[in-house]
Amino acid sequence: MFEHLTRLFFLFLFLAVSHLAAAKPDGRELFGYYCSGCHGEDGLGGIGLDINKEKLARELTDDYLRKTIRNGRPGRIMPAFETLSDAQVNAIVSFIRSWVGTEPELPVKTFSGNLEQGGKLFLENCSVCHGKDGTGGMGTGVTESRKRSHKIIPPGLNNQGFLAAATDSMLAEVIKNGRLESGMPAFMQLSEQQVADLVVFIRNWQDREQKPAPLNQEPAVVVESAYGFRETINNLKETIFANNYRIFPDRELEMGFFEEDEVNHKQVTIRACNFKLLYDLLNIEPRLGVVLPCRITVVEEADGSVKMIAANMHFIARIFNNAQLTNLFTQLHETQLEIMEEANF
Amino acid sequence: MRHLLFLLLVFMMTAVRADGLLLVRVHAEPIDVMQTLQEKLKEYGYTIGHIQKCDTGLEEMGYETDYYKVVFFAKPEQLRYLSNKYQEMIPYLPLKLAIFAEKNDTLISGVNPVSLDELFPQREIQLQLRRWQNDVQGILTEIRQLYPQSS
Repeated sequence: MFEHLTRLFFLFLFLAVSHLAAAKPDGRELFGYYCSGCHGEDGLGGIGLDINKEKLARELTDDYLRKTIRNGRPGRIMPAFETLSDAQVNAIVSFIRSWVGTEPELPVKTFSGNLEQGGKLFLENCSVCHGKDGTGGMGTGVTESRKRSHKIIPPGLNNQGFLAAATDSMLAEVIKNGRLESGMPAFMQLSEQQVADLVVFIRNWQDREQKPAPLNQEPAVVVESAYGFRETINNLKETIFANNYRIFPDRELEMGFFEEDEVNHKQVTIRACNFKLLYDLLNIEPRLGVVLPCRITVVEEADGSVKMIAANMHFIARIFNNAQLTNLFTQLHETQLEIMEEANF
Repeated sequence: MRHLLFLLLVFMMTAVRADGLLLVRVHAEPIDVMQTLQEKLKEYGYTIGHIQKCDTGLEEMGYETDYYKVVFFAKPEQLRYLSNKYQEMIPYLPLKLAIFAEKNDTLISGVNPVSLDELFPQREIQLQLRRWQNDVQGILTEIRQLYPQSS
């Protein structure tokens, strides 16, 4: 019987894999599933940048799109879709290309220019929007739901994913013609040599490896309390409030999931929010809500000992592929630790 | 048989996206999508513990924002079992989905439960994370299909 079932299982597995391998990928469907969440169904952007027709026709080659899908933008939200097959990536690129029909023809050549001169030009012309070090504006994509510095946030130019995808010719094309829809001006006043200097300066950022910091593998921050259950809760609330957070009413972890008389009253979550910080963070990452609100849970054990438990913020930061958020979460992790230590003082 | 089921689950797991975040765009007003989300969660056997109104809080503090809420959900017995046996899971429980407006669309997003794999090597937890991933992904896909884009 068991052997029979095993054979059946592997037959099913084989058929399923064969079916998946043989089916021709549907670019529209794949785009809808993998890309539209951030870029919109029509490519007008949102969390992600717009992939508008003008850009597609003028500067975004199929190779650029393929590499962008494969490598993503490390630290700038766009993930690297490493598990998609080549056929799937090509299907997505073909679907995007169908919006304009033709692929731009950009010459394949490596620019030579003066790095130092390029640096000066970058500082004068580009750094206001893209940052002195080319990291891009605060946040990403197109502004829709809250006020931000730009309608379309200037992309990070020192990003290894971007630099691997963009050719020198594409960089020159964007510098010379700008991107009117995003507010990027056309730098037509620059000479060919000055454009080349700028391209060389931007290209110089490539291959400076940005290794992610090793992950602290502790699933949570757990601190033994020196106080009783209620005292710990009160101490925590006082300390959180003193750190400029608004405190929400206490909630037992099980509240809303069991009848009131069945709820475990020895697991209480202290929830808090600093709305200024929240507003700023939502402008950097609109999906931040998936880890809200800031919280520390106080648990009393059967032996009467009390623990304070909070999430590993370093891990949470990593989920978002967002370098700006990572820095803020590192600070938040420190604040969280200080709060728990202070509550224990 | 249990081994076969586990193998099948592992196979199914590799056939879906494994990004840190799950995200779906729905072509409908957030109030309608919220209603559908609640219905779908119940269909899948989950209880909604509460809904955090982030937009209301932001507006009360003087910030302009679109619709933004967070839905907390769980299967009560699972929540109790896991929070008692693995206290370090408590900060990640109950499960959450953020639901927010973007122009004429509504986005629903959640942490992909499987991304917690790195923190929890216990086989029991890893299996549970895969089940949650399948459920959440199923819910998001079904909601998206309920509101197709008019072309």
